[in-house]
Amino acid sequence: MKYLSLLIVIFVVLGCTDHNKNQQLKLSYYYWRTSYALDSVERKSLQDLSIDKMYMRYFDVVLKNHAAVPLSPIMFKERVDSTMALVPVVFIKNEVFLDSFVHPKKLASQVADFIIQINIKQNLKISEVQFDCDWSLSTKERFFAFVEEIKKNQPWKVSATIRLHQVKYADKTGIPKVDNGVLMYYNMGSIAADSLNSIYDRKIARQYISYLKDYSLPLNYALPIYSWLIHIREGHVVRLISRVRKEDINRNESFKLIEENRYLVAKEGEYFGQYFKQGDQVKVEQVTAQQLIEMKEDLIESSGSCPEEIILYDLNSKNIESYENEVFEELTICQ
Amino acid sequence: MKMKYLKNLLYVSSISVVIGLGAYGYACADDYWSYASTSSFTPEAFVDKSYKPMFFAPYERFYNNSYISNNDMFDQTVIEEWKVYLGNSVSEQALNYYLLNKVDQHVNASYTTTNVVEDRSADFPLKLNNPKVKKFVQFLDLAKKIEPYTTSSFNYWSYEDHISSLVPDSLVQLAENEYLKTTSKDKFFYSRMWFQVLKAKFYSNNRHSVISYFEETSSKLERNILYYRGLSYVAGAYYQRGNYIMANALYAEAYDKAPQLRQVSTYNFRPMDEENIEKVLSVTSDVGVKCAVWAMNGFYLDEFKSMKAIYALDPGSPHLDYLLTRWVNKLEQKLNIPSESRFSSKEAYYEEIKTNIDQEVYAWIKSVSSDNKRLHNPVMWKLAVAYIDIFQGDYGQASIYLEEANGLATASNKLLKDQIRLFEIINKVSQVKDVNAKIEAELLADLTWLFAKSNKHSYDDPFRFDYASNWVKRFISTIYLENYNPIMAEIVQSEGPSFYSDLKLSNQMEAYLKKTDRSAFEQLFVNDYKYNLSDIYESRSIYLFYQDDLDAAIEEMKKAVPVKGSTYEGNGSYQSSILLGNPFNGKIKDCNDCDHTAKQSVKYTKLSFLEKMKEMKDKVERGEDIYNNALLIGNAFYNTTHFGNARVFYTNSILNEYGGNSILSVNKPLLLSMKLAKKYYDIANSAATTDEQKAKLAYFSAKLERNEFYVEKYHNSDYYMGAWYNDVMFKKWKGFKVLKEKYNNTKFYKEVINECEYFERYARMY
Repeated sequence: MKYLSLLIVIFVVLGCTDHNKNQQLKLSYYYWRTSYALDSVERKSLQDLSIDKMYMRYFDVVLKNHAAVPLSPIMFKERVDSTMALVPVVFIKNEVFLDSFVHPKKLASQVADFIIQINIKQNLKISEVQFDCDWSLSTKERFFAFVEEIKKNQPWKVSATIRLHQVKYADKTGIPKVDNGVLMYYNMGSIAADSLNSIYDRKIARQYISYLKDYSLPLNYALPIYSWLIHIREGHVVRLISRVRKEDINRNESFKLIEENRYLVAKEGEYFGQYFKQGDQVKVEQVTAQQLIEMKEDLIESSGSCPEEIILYDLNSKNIESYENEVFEELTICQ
Repeated sequence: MKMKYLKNLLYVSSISVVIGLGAYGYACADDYWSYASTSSFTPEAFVDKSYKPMFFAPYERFYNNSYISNNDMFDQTVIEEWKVYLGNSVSEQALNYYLLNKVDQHVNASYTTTNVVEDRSADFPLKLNNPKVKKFVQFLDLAKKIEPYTTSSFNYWSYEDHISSLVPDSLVQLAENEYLKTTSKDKFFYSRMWFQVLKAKFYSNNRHSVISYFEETSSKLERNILYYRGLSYVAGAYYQRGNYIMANALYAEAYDKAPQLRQVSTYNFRPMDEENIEKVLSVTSDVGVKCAVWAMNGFYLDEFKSMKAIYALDPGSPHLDYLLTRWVNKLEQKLNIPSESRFSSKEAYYEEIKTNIDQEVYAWIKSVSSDNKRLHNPVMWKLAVAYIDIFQGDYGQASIYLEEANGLATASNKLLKDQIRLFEIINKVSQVKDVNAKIEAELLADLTWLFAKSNKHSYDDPFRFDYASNWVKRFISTIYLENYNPIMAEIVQSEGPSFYSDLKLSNQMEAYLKKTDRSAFEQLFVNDYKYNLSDIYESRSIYLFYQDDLDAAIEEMKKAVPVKGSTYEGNGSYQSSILLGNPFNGKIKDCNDCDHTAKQSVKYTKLSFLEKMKEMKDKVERGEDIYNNALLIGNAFYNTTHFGNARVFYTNSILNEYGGNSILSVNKPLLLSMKLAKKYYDIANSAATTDEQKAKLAYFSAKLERNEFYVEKYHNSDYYMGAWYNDVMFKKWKGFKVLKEKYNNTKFYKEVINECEYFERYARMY
């Protein structure tokens, strides 16, 4: 009898809800520095959130004299915990596929070989790789051929990052034949001196995500927890300084708040490792905890289903410390 | 140079930055931008090419994105120098092979084993009986041992090669020993071996040791490029220790004395506040180096402040000229706003530019410009003053300065002469108040020259004339308009639909273009005018169509004959352009793609479509089958709006519409209006006799009401954003109410219930 009622309960739950909603989502991190070493905050975050999967930038592929070459491969200052499922991510600049001297098939074997070299050196085992390339209309065929070549010759599951515009214009930009995609839900504007937030802007996002329902590739979502400061002089962007948050600026008396997220440099000097002129402005871009939740909800609402995984960009104590653990836990609930 | 950590600094986190532009790149891939888009002051005309990477670039770190290629920036210099040293005893091919080949293990074997080098079977055998060649081998032997530690990688696709390791102490010692064996008599060889020691030390565990080593040994060396590269290692060592005062002082020395090192020194220089800059200056007594400190600080911070400081130190410093190019280019960036429309009025234009010039700087530049004798390039200073004078409306004074510049410039310097001519043109055009025969004669040759530049522009030519060329057109167009000549105003700077929607102006333009007797000056602009007569007839036909004047529309469309080689985005077929779907369809669901792929027994062209409509309209007027004919005309007017299947009808280069979702504001009243569809549906309705007929028209009226709502709500900004998933998509349209209440017993009602989900939901709710 006890079993019977349990069965009924299960039946009811399945019967009246969308079958892929109300799941627990998996949470993971991107690791995007050029050398691998975790500090105590990062280590604790992995533990607290029981994270057992990490997407690690292995290297970039760029063009040099008509040849594709790897740039800044990851260096290991410490070992990766053997219980961590590691997914190497390779960023390939679109210019690589624009160059007719680059052969996608040859590049596929070079890239696979380079990943294997790193794995052997560090004694790492992997079962998935991810490619990050902002392919365009003129490079899609070559990028897709590259991805397919990897899939054909390697035992790995293959995923690819997907940009919002590639979802909206899927019929033009095409969909790579990978096992799944990761929608990069950030970088919604250009890095500019204007008042917009280039990391996330719900209004812009809305122009794109209504197309999610029709996107045929299963998607996981990458959400931004990073921040940066945009240093502006006479209306022009001078530089970006990563991982500076509003709290850091508020502590510095040489910066005067003039608008939300915008400050005036009241006194010349060296701050955050750079020279600031009196009269310069800075814009701080970051995403609030509330916005992170809003992103998750909008994505689920407009796609009509729960993703398997949410990946936070990126693992860094400076980013982590700005959010309560509860916020990240909340991200794992899909209703 | 300090490659290893430069590499890290240059690295930009890829996922976070590069892709940021992705979402937008798609939309604006066609936009063309160059430095000449906002600038008329060509820095290449004034200062030598070593400054080029540091020219003002509004959006990049370095001009033209000049990349500092650490691994190979000296390759050519090294080859050249060895060539001079070795003479004919080693071929250039062999030099390339031995010096630059960084990958091939075979090379290594060749030069380390004397026998192999002399072996005839080697690719490039070297004859060791020549003492200089022997030294070359001795050098290679050492350099190739150090190189793996200093270049960023040998084989890019080898992970091991990326893992940087330091030059072992034993190798540093070997380098020192080898250097000690050489004598300063052979200056060339001595320098090269010395540089290997510095290099080895810099990439060793004890980077700082280059500082003392340099101090102990450098006095014996020639001041050549190797010396300054060595000095830059020392600067790098100071930098790494956080001693930026010394680092900056040494980078400044390299910058001043070795033009090849200017970009990399600037890159490594740390901009500083005044207090610290004073400390840097106190390190050296060399005036050139002091000027270089200011030049580099000015690159990052304040050109004016740096110019004043340099002028006080040495008015003849070329660094001063370089900073002035940056200052002027920056000013232009502020004042010159690229646009494709004429100015609201010439007075408004004058006002706008004047307010943005810093008078203190202007007065200073003007006073310095009279220092002809001492300035390194006085021509540029005269031109800078003239340029600002033009901006400020002081054309008389500008003329004087231009004349002086012309007198000082050498005739052989074509770029400089072109630059002066360009400013003379801007100055002349700025003074035009009316275009009469005299003005035409004065400007004809100049403008012909200027526009010809645009038409055959080579990307290697740095001359910046784009902005000026556009500006001249915008300005002259403004003058024409202010003097009541809208035709020439349009030809010089086209405004497209806002001009041609006025049919009177459209007719005047036709007459003007058909004329053959016009002045050479006018002809210059007519040659460049972007519309042809077919564009005009077609636009007129479209405008008349939306006034429900089918007879006149047909007449105009008949004249819009296909043009070969037209720039028209379609294929230049005008009246014979084929409509993609049947324009007389009236469906429950609007689906353009479905209509386009559906089988059509008759394919309509723009012209045959108009003629068919006319036939139906005549029937309505004669009272023949009014219901059906009026309904079909109503459908046709519906389909030729943005919501219909016949957007091809309104594609036209003047209207500048090609069927996209974002419609120009000026065209919205035509392309988004339901008025004409309504007019004919109403006629059909009044002739309807059966419930089926009335049901259909009730539903069609709901479609019109819906579209009007969409227009008001979702087409109300310049850029079409569309609706969001939780935005309102339908309401209680009156047509829905009539259909449900009066005609729910019809066959059509059932069809609507099946096909239209919104109506089905409405019918359930109410």
